[in-house]
Parts: sequence; structure tokens; C-alpha cells
Amino acid sequence: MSELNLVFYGIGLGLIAIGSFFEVVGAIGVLKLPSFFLRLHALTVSCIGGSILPLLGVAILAIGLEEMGSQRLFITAICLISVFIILILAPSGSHSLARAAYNSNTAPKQPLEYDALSRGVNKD
Amino acid sequence: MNIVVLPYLLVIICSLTSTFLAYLIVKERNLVVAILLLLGQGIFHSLLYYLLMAPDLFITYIPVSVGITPLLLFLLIKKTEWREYD
Amino acid sequence: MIKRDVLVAFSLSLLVLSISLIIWLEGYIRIATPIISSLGESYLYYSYNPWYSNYTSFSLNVVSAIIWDYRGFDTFLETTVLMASIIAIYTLLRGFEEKVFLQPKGLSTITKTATKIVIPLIIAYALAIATHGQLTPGGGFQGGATLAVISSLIIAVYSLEFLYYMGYRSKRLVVIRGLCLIGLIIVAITPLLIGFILNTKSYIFQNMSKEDSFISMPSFLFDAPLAGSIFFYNVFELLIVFTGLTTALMLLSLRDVELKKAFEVREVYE
Repeated sequence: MSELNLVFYGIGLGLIAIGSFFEVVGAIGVLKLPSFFLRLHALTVSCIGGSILPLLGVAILAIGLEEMGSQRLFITAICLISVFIILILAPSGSHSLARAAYNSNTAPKQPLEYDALSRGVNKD
Repeated sequence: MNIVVLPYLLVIICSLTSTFLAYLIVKERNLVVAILLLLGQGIFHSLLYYLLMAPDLFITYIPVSVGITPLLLFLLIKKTEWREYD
Repeated sequence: MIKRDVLVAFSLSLLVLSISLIIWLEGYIRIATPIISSLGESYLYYSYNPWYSNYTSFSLNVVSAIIWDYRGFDTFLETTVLMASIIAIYTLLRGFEEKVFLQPKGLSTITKTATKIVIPLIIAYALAIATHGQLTPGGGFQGGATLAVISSLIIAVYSLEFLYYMGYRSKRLVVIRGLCLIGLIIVAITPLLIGFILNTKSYIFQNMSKEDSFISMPSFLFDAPLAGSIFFYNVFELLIVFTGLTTALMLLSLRDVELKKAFEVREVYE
């Protein structure tokens, strides 16, 4: 294994480790945070940090594995495409969830600092 | 761990989790929660199809269980009732 | 969800595990046998085999070859069963009318834009599944189900009104579905007609040439295997499944204003 491949290997493993850290943080947040919107925030943290960073890590790790031949480029491309799709879909999904919960007044908003939507700003 | 054992272990975990979820779906009174559990069971079933080397069933089951069935059931609940009474 | 339910479910899954362990240890059933039966072996051997041109179907995907070539009539009847289910929904909601209000509401702009980005990807994937049914795993039903996810996304995100705006009506979809079913029949009886004109022997659902009839559908497009009629069947099946599932989704998401007349009709019959 050459030195460049070793660097790729290290970066990939590091990204996967950071992703698992985000996953654990998100799980603790979902269990411990008080209101619906805060729990949704924790869910998004675990979704973005816990799935996009490991996917990027696998993509970089697969470039470094030279003995796999041209198969490693397929793995890299699949990972990058899934990163793109998750990066678009996960935030918009949690946005629509939060919006529906806010508009229908089903979830309590109690730990509240500042509410821009109630003053008629961006009332779309 | 020997890498050949790993798919069989995943098969066991997926099938046991889907049995677990099936009982909860039958017992659940709140139908919205029951549909969400059904969605989770669909994901485990499609993973099972992939592990048992049936890629065409896998391709069918993903859109049907994740895309179409939840919307149909939610529409049905919206037209009727979202709670099951005794 | 009570704690007792979770416990019972957990013990149920443990019961399943113990039963499967007993079956495995006692050796009643051999799980995942390495021996293939002789019938399966012959399918695997002949499905893409240019040296036996009387038995092959030039399809690299064996499942596709079995579904549309070796048991084509069966699959055709399955497709007509799907049509019957749509007709059942129609009789249930007899007398509904689709009203166009031309005020699509839907969810917020962010969600709509994200859906707009994803929809072309889904269309490309569904078309790839259906038209490569003879090369890779997949086929007409799989592609149609994937394409029907688009209409479910549009109903959920953009509202039903947007589907009307795009020109979807349930009656038009049913007409397209019937035309595709007729197209399937036409592809099935084409070898019969050619045989009738040329005055030779030929069969319904014939794909490649047989021992006593030389008529065969095109097996190659340039250098890619087309597998004869399997390609056409897959394309028609894609349209049939897409229109069928979209019709079911549209009919189930009708508004109360549109269903008012249907309820009146039902009261008259009762």
C-alpha cells in the first residue's frame, strides 16, 4: 500500500468515526430533549452528520483500496450520488414536518426564545 | 468475525425484527403509529429480499412498501378514523 | 404501546428463532441447498445460449425469460387481474366527478423544489429498470411501481389539483391502460399473423424460432441483446402498472365535493 493510499484510508476511517459520534449525539438528543422541535433538530443532526459523513468516508476509503480494481470507482460514485440525494431530501423532510407541526398547533412550543413566524414574517 | 457468517447473521436479525414489529402492528390502537411501524417492517423485508439474493423482488418491494402503501393507508385513515375503538 | 406488548412481541420472535434452530439442527429441511433441480438447471442453461437457437430466448436475465417467454400466457392473465381490481374501485365509487379548481396549494416552496430535483432521477431509474429488463434484474412491473412513486409524491407534496393541471384524468389513464393491454395482445399474436401470411406453422406468444417454425422476433438491437418480444412486453407492462397504480391513488384521494354525487347514487341503490 503506497503512502497516498494510506492517507486516503486514514481520512476515510476518520470521517466514519466522526459520523458515528454524530449518530450517538443524535440518539441522546432524541431521548433527552424536551419538546418536539428540539427533538427534530437532534434527528436532523443524526441524519446529516451520521449518514453523510460516513458515506463520504466510504467513498474516500474506496479510492484508496487499489487491489479492488475498477470496482472501487463504482462504490465511490454510488456513495457520492447518495450523499447528494440525502443532502437534498433530509432537510426538506424535516422542514415540512416542523412546518406541519407548527401550523396545526399539535406540538407544544414551550422552550421558546424567539418566534418570527407568529409576527407575520414570511407568512406563505 | 468470519465475513461469510455476516449475511446469515443479518438475515436472522432482520427476520426476528420483522416478527417483533408484526406483533406490535397488530396490537397497536393508534393507526398512524401502526402505519409507521409497517413502513419499518417493509424496510426490513426488503433488506431480507436483498440478502436472500432476490434483487428483482427487492426492486419491487422498495417503492411499493415505502412509496405507495403508506400514502394509500394514510388516505384511507384520512377518510375514515385514525383510532381503533374497543 | 404498552410494555407488556413489547415483551410479548420479543418472546414471539424468540419463539420463531427457537423453532428455526430446531428445524436446522434436526435436519428436517436443508436451508439453501447447493443442488439445483434439473428444471432450474435447464432454464439457467438455455436462457441465453446462441448455440441452441431453438430453445433460447436471448435474455441475460433468467427471471425475465421465464416470466415473459417460458410462461408468457400466465403473466398476461396476471396483468388482466390488475385491470379487474381497478374496475372494482370504479364500481365502488360509481358516479364521482373530477372538479378542477385550478388552485394548487400543496406544501411549502422548499419541499416542492426538493421534489422537483428528485423526480427526474426517479423517472430515469424507472425507465432504466424497465427497458433493461432483459439484461439486469428488474422488468416491467418493477419499473412501473417505481414510476408510480412519482404520482404518489406529487399527490402528497403538490396536491391532487396539480395532477389535474398536468392533464391526468382517471378516465384517460384507464383508456391508456386498455390500449397498452391491446398492444400486449398485438405483440403476442404478431408471429401468428406472419405465419398465416407466409403459410407456415407459428404459435401465440412465440419469441424465438422453434424446430418447426422459423419465425422469430428481433433478438439483437445493434450489439445489445433485445430478447425479442420480452423488451416490448416490458415497455407495455411499465405503462400498464404505472397507469393502474396512479388511477388507484387518484381515486382514493378524491375530495368530498367530488364524491358527493357518488354517495347520492349509493343511497338510491340502497
